[in-house]
Amino acid sequence: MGQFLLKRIGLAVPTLLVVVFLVFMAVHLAPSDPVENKLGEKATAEQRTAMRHHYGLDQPLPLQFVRYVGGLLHGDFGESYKLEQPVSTLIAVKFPVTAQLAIAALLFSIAVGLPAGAVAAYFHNSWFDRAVMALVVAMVSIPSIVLGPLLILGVAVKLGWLPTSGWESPKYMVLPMIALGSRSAAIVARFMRSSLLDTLRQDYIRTAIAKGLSRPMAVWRHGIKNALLPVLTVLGTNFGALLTGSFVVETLFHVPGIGDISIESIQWRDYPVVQGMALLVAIVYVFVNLGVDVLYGAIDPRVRARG
Amino acid sequence: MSRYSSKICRRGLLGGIASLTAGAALPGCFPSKGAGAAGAGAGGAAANVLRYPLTDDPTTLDPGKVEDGTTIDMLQQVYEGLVKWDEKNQIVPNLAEKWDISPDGTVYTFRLKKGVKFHHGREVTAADFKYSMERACDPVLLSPTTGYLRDIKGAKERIADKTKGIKDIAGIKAIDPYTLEITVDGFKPYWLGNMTYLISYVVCREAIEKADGKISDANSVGTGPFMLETGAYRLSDRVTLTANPGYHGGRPKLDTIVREILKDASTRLSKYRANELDMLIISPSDLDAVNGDAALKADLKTFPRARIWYVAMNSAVADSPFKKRDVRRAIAMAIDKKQLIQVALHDQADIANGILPPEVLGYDPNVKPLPFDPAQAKDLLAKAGYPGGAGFPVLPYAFRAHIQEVQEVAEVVRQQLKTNLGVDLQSHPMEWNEYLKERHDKTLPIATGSWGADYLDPQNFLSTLLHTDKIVDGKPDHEENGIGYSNADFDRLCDQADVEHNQAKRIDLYRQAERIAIDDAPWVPLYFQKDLMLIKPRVTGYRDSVFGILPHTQTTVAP
Repeated sequence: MGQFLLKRIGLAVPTLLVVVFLVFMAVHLAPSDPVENKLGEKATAEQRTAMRHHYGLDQPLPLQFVRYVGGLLHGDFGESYKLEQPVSTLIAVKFPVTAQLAIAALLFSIAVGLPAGAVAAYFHNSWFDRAVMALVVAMVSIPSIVLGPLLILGVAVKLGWLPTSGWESPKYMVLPMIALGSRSAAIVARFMRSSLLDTLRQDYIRTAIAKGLSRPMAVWRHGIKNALLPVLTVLGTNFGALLTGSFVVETLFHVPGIGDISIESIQWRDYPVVQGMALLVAIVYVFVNLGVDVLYGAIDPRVRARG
Repeated sequence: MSRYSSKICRRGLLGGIASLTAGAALPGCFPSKGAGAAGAGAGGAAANVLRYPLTDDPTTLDPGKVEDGTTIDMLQQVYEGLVKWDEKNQIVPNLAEKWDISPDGTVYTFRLKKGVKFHHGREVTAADFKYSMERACDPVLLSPTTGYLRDIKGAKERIADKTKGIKDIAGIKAIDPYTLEITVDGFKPYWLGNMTYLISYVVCREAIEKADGKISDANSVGTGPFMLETGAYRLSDRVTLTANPGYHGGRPKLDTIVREILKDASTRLSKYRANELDMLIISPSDLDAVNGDAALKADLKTFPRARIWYVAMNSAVADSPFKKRDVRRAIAMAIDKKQLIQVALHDQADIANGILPPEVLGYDPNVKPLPFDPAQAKDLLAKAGYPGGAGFPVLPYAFRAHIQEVQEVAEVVRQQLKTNLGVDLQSHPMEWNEYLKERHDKTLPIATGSWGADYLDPQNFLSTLLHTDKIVDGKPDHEENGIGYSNADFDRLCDQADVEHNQAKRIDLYRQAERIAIDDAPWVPLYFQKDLMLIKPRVTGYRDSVFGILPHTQTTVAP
């Protein structure tokens, strides 16, 4: 297992380097630069030149890149032009919040999606199954940018049950968790249903029932776990998306995570922040995929044997 | 073995959900409740706490560097200067209780109010003002607002000199602890307006030096009615200001101001509706929602701002059709401003007939604009060689993206020019930094632009924006006139007016210049901006000038 992990992490390094290079080029080649935003509409040409020089933006691009990578190797992600704080501080303050929200949304999607999918499969073609599938289509189709304001208006403004937005205590987490996790819950339900349906057609289930196990027991003992394997892959990729795709939800619900800062740093040409966030996202994906592979091994001994 | 471990796995995966959910929701994961959390609960209005949002993180906590209105509005509660604006848009004493101006208008002697204390208790003296302004000119600070200090004798040279550190500026003298003398490099009747800017406000030397010259929430020491204490700024979350009990103007009535950082407009409106905010600046694009809700509509107030929005036509670009005066006049006569304000701004703006906003000295209520006259406009365009718009190049029409009403204004202008003149322009929304860069480079062919007053003097509009060569630091540097407008008569009138001592004569000269600019039409003045604000009835004592919200010294919030 140790060797497997080392190999995978080793493979991640070139991926990350490519990400760093591409993002660096993309942001630096975009028109204009951070100095215009930083100084605003009433600054003089002289002030802009001085600031470009201060930040080293007047250096040739390859040199700027080498400096940036050099900094990265020393653990220095640079400093935000806009907020004048180290990018590592921004990540340290904001990423835990995003991670919290993503974990909550993931758990929500598991807690809702798995039972819904399993019960739908168990009562295949019943009214319950059809209702779940209809709901799934709706939840997959409604993006968080629509669901979020609906939740705020309905649950927070009209009913007053929960706060509209903010990040003060657990109750603040409920609405963003639903807004972020509902799509993922629907996907999980759909995969769980089809996966369990496949499993239920397997010979070993029939054998178990023939040996005298009741149908619910057979499904519970032998069906669910085998059906979980493909769902786990979906959960893994979903988790990556939840961690990095909560931008809209974070902005809508005023969650102080990495989401809002990432979008705005692009508009602002806040190079170190864009680069730092892109690198963070890449690292998250690498490790989430790694985590999924490890979990695979834990659930399925065949994978472990091959690993 | 496998049977046993499989049970563990299943329990680990499914049963773990419950414990993880609990773990993710541990209260310890949230910011600790302090002053920052005051009154932030769902729907609860808290007495003595004023809650209104910031639309973005503060760009800086340093008054010497702040440039944007949002951050200025927050920092002016904490820091103060010699003078300030009042509700009548007049400059009135603040930390200076009075001042004398020498007969030639170049030496200002400020008498400081005695007994004014910094938040940490030390008395403010003239030396603190000298330090504050000299610090603001230190190149290390890279302040974008040094322009407001440039007129002080010796300041230009200090700003141009790139050596780091605090250096003496000859024009700023601390005569004694309560007397500050500032010498200006010429007669500039508008100069005092510069002292209302935060770059001239007093900061505390010992607090700043302790932090290596930088200002953060850990060392924000001013004299203002509110204090920014350590931990009061939570990144992308909120800024909490606490009342200064020793404020020289009397303790403010509020205990706390909570400025949540809310970047999404619909979130802000929802929070206002849910009673989680007491005040909210909205944009014209929110008006549909507001007008459809009686409760919100009753809370709507409008405030004029000394800011003009205009269409700028650039004659500096090679082959520009706008080099021809007739073309510019045709464009001006083809724009129906009344319809524009109705459609794009829901009638919440005042038509700009001239260039000077109503609050600015010398504003002429009878100024005649070029009339809206599509027939005459067509004739002029034909005379210029583009009959019915034929042969007119398809130019990009630039405007700042991400602000809905700006986009709608641009769309209406484009439509009107197409319908009324047959001139086809391409819509070109630009990010703010791109827009600024191209404006500085003078490469935008035609664009919506705006200018807000720095002080309420016609010099700040006419000479600053449309003079051919404004001389800055001995070099012609005229980025504000990013459109290559040049008229010798206009320049002469502005030059005379800028140094004229007789106010009536001065105003007359500026009015003549303004008429020339209206007729030449380098700009089509469109409208003067109004800010729209929702204010709950429980908020009283709120004060405002054309520059924005004034410090909350009198504001109260009833429970």
